[in-house]
Amino acid sequence: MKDISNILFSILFLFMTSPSKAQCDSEPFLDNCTSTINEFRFLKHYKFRTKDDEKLGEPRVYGYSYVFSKGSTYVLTACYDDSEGNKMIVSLYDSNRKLISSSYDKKTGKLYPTIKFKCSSTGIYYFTFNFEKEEGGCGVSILGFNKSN
Amino acid sequence: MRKHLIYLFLSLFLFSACGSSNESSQDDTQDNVTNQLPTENIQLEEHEVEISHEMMFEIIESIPAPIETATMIKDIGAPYYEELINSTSNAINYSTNFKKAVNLGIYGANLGYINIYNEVGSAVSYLSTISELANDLRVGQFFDFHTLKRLASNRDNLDSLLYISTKGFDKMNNYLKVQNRGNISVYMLVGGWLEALYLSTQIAESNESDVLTERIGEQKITIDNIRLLLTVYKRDPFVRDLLGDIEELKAIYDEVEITTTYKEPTMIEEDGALMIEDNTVTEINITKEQIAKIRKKASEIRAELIS
Repeated sequence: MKDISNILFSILFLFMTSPSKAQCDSEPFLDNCTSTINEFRFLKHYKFRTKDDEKLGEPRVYGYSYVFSKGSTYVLTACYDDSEGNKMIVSLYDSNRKLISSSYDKKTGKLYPTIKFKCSSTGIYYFTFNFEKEEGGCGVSILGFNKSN
Repeated sequence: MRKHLIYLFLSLFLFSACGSSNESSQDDTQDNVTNQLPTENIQLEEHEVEISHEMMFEIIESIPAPIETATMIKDIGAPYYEELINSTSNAINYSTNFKKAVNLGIYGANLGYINIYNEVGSAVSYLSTISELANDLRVGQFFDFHTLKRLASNRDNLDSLLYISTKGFDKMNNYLKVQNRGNISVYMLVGGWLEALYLSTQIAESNESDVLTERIGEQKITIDNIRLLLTVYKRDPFVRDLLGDIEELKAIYDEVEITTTYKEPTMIEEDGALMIEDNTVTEINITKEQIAKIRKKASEIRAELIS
């Protein structure tokens, strides 16, 4: 009985320490990310822990929405662990759920760390975040809006 | 030992359950990505309200933050109106969780307004009141009040003060989501939204501005979701009364017209970022009479909430 329990505790230990399931501490990303939105004011942050909460091969697309107001410029940033060449992709959709643009241009391979959106049409906008690699990733995104001059 | 094993199996089960609860297929076609998008204004009859926990928080997260309105009010050149914000001396009257949460939202909006105008003298007392209400609701841990009060004592710390306080509210909301305390989130959100509406309608009375007028009219887009969120908790008598008032406010907003003309956006690269210029245009047709009605109703609802 003791042997079985030792094995099970070892399995549990592996679950807690395996690199692929490593804890994602997004807090450092949050503060670093905030420093990249200089001329914008912080509104919200979105955390991603796909290394922790998903099965391999099944990355999740995280979806959110926010009412953008005409006359304001909004910023969406992606701050994440890219040490393994992983890409975090931000996509923006309009009120009709039509894709406006994505931070990743597949044709050119260009990845933008930040999307800015100068809004002239008030409405609910949708945005998604996903990682290019199947195993997902760890990071945060910040939504900000333009400051007064 | 058997007890330990039961805990262990439970732990392993929870690990696997957490993993599977978020499953979705990997396909980056737009259709599949679009399926992950939150659902827009869900129109339900009162007796049919059934919103999942996830969907409710998706709606909560979509509501515009009061700090945007405060920034816009300052941008149009309106002066600071101290008499408009909820006095901290009222806090002693808030004995129910409903009143505490609604007024935590109201004071949060007030703090944003105070900070935007750099009225550091008022910030400390509002921070203290927010701290007390947040502690009463067991969400005070997301605010480092010592740091916030230190920042509030110096006018040069505006950005840090705004960031840390906004981040605190943001983290609190995430915590309430995990803790399944959506009612507190909804009450706070409604308080903050209503306070922003109250301030903008009051200030519009003496500061003519098309931007401000449009921002008031734009709330037509949000009020449906405010109503929907409150409907979830309408068994609470406090919420039922508030919901009745919000429905009257919505009836006024039903007369406001919003038209949208779609045009393709343009995109350029700017300082390493992708800059998207929206070319779609919305026109908000709202009359002075409608604004006056909204002002009156918002003021009545707010008076009831802060009493």
